[in-house]
Amino acid sequence: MAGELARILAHVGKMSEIDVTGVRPTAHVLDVVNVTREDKRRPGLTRDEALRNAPAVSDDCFRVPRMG
Amino acid sequence: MTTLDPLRLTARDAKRLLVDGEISAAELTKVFLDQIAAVEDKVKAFILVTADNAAKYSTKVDREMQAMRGPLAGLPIAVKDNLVTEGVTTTCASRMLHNYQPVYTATAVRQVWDGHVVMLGKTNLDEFAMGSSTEYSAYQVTANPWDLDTVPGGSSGGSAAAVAAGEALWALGSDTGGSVRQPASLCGVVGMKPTYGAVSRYGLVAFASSLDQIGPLTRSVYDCALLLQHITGRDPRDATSVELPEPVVLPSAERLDGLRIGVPSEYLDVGLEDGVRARFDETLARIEELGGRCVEVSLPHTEYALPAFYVIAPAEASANLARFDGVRYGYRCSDPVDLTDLYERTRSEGFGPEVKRRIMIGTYALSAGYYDAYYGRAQRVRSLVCRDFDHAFSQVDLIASPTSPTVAFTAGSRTSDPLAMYMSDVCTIPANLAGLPAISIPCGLSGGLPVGFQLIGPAFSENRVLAAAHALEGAIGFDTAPPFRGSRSSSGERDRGSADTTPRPEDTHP
Repeated sequence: MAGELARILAHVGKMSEIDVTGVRPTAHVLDVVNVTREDKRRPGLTRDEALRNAPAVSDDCFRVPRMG
Repeated sequence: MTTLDPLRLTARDAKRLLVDGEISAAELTKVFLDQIAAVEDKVKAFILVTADNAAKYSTKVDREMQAMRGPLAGLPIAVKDNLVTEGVTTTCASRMLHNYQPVYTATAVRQVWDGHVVMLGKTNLDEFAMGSSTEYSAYQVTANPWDLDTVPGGSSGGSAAAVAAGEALWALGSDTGGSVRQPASLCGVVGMKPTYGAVSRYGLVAFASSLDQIGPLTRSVYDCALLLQHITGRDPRDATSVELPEPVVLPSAERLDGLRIGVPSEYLDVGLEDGVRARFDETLARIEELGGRCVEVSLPHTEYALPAFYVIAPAEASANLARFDGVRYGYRCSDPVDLTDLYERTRSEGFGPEVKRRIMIGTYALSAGYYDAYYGRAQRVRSLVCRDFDHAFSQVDLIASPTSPTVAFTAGSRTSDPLAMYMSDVCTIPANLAGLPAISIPCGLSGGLPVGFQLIGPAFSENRVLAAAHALEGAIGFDTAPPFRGSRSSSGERDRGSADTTPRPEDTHP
């Protein structure tokens, strides 16, 4: 895989051929304005729903092995 | 009951038969379930067929006809398996999500469900939508119904193949760099990527959030518009979604009088196959016959679009896929000794090779020492690609190109060369970078395999794109029925790596 990654990086390196001085990076492709929503409470996932797909659960929490 | 040909039936015609009482929703659904039973062994378009539910629900649509009506009611659909569906396993064709039971439903799917469509199942894709042949699925290799030894394209290859094979009336896919249009091209169906933000991405498992859009795969341009009508709209759950300035109109145009179509020379210089070039040129001639005018335009930064995409998309993917860590959902490695071991082995075992490649490229491009040279530069190149389009659209109404430089390629021929695979999307990627609407329609055959014709429009010009595509489709008169030729020498089941131990998702729809 190292060889493949090197070839992909060489290919994307083609970008260095062009001068981008003074060009602003794209932040968003369309002209949009900030969108805000009403600051009102609305239902989210229940605890049961949030835990339903967890590989391991303990005391209504996600269970993970000890840290290192 | 009228005898229906699932290979040629359009949603428009199916709806008319339903409304006229010539067929019931249950009978219509059975036509497609029967076709799935007949050809799915060879095509392998579906990761999951929800046959029982489809049969039950269609009967309900018939029974409660007064309450359950509307333009989509009773029309069977297939859904790409990276759109989450509550109660129906959603895998993204990844081992990572082999057992994932969504607790909510994607907005676009919810919208068609609310319109009482009948869902036939979830379709195959390249793992997490990363690929151009659907060969990177962890579960199965989908075959192209035109030639079973070739790929259907990707990443929405399952949706495209299902529609082409008559296993679905129409389907939903997603398009990040061409993943709706390129498989539509290779499978001889219509596929459209709307303007960025036109369709809510809520519930679309994120690949590259600034590029992803959900789009229809259908047997006609009219059907494409009909489906698009029902999935567009502002959704409070996706802050990037927007209301289209004008609603999608069902197209009826038969002429292209006065329409200026730009043909970018850079798109013809990408190693087009002779047959693709020939069909493309013939289609340009048809445009002129219909009253349109083809003029040459230049999109000078086209050759840098692919390199920019393969920095931006992996960068966003590496961030989006960080969530798959074996803690909250999805695959978890067995007996992790500590948290680091859990993360490392879960991700090493859960992701396939193309996903790993992109995560590594993406994290590299975003790392402190390389950010400016890769990600920063790519976003500047993206601005130049957008500028090219702005300039071109000051001269023309639409831009035309082949959708893919080649027809469907032989299975296995590009999997060992990632860059060759990436080149499949050279004509489709720029529209994603610039957020523009683009459609692929079949424009003929080369060596018995479909060739796609792409039309790109300015942002929010969906109606212009659809009207022109509709007129052109009428003049081309493409027959959507594939011959199912070829032997499918390889079985289609995954034959590399961890395939044997990968559990197949079960049908758990309530």
